[in-house]
Amino acid sequence: MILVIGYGNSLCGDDGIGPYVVEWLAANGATLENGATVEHVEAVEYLVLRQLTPELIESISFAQTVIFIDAALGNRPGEFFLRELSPAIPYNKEAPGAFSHFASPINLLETAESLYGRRPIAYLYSITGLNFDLGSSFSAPVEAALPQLLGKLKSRIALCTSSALPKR
Amino acid sequence: MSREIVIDPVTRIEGHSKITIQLDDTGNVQDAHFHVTQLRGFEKFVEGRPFQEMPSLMARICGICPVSHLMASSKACDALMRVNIPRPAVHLRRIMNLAQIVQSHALSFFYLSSPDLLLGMDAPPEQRNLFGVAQANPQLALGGVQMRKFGQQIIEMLGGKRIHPGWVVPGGVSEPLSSDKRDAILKMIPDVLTIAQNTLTWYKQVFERYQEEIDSFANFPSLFLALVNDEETLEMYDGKLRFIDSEMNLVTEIAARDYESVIAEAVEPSSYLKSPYFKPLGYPDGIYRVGPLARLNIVQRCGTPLADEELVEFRKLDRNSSFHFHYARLIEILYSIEKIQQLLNEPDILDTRIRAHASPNRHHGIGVSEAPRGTLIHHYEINDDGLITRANLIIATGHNNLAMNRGVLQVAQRFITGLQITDGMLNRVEAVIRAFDPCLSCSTHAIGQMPLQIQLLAPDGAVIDEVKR
Repeated sequence: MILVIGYGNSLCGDDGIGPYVVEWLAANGATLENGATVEHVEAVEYLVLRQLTPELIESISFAQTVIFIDAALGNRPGEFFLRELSPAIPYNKEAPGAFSHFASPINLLETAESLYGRRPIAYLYSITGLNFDLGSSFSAPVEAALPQLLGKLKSRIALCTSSALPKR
Repeated sequence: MSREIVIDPVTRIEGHSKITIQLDDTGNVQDAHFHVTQLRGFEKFVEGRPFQEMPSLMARICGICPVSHLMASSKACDALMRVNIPRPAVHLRRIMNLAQIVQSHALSFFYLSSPDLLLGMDAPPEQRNLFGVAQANPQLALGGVQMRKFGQQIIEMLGGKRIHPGWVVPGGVSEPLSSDKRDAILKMIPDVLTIAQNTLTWYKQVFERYQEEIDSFANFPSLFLALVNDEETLEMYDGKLRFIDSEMNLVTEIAARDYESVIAEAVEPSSYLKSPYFKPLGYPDGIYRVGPLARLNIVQRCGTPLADEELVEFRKLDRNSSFHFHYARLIEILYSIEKIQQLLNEPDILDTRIRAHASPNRHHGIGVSEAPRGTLIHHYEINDDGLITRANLIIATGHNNLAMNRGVLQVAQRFITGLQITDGMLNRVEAVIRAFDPCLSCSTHAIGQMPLQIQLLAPDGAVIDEVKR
């Protein structure tokens, strides 16, 4: 199963980019090279979340691949980056916050491994935002980056699911 | 995309907060404050909206406890329409509210507080988190994940989605419960009951190690506030507002709609979080606490068999210590699971008459329910067209603001010595706030990862030491 998780606050401008693209993918699917569409692939599950929380650990442990999509802070709004969240990448093991209720992708992956003995392949798409104020529209740079971002995501999902698809 | 680039991820913090600790001329802690440094403005921007939109708008206040806002908001709209909602709809709303309490308490206890309790207040911060718990006690961590999932699954089954479900509506709920869903929820109950009982057993073995913290974690006389029903059992959805004192004696009991006769809100220039207080005692003497500790202090019994057994033991403790919020939270998890089971077995639970329809019949509507962190009040005023002209929300974290501030001062005076903040000191200051489980999610925003800043101030206000987490 491929788990695609878009998270962020859809009422805080560019922070809602993760939920938006995952809702789009879930509604429109992604046409793959063999003509099948990702929406018809049972192996793909789309999740739209405000924030990452610990109960995701179990679902993550069952997944073959997890794709996280989130907004990011940075100097070049509209840029997006792909990182493979491999175990080799060092990370800060501190709790995300003193009384915060969120978890990070790495925290969830690490805990899936320690609790359930499985850590899936995982990718994080980070989209640099410009405006995080109240509002449901995206800034111009993020809006402009959307087509390319959706294209990259469709390709990534296709790549992850290709082995699970029926041959035509 | 192979460049190595450092990215600051936008994290889902529950608003920004700051603690300032003021020292006197001799270097002792003189004063301490917990500040919330971010404004949301929900009360203002809903003005002019049709009242029917309020539940779904209000649910957006918070990604952690949207159900609580949905509940209080829908009740306020019921009051505007002047309807009594059908009994099966009340059962269903109660079930969702209890599921919310389970998942939220599970997050607070297993995710945020169990690391302190399992690994110790002085354990290195890189270990003192759920992931450290997973290493040290996998069963405890697994229980937390499963408990949280149980609550979320019920919310998703009833509401159609986990976050911001739109199923609770003015007048009732939008869809009846199917027998399949009822049976699916009932099937999950035995496992989570066992987890709740095992966790209570574990907690009772460890909490007495923390006597110093029990003595100093917001351990002082104050009033307590919660909803109470005619049977004086635990009540999360409806009833009267009852205040008791630190000796557990009744102070006053009023209809929830009359809350303004006893509760007023003060504003401090240093925080966006208001400070509600009990009017007859004035500000700031009218300090009171809400939430699991207050609820268990106020009721005579929980009203479910297993939770009632636990309540007997709980009542032997010093019930003015906010450290016991943790214990109370676990008992409420147990109660909520039992109560969900009871409600699902009500004979009319599958009834299809689940919603009352009406136009607005009143210009004022007040909805009060118990959220995981305490009493939640939504108060709306509308014009003849049903548009909102005024909204006032008193959230649980606000009710506890004065108590949290006093608790921070108490812990700082007990544990902070010298002119530098050590990690053990810092963690205890944080832990006393964690005991209240404040939900600053009501200011969820995206400005990087800085949920907490602690400043040590000299008598002249100069910053002596500062820690950011």
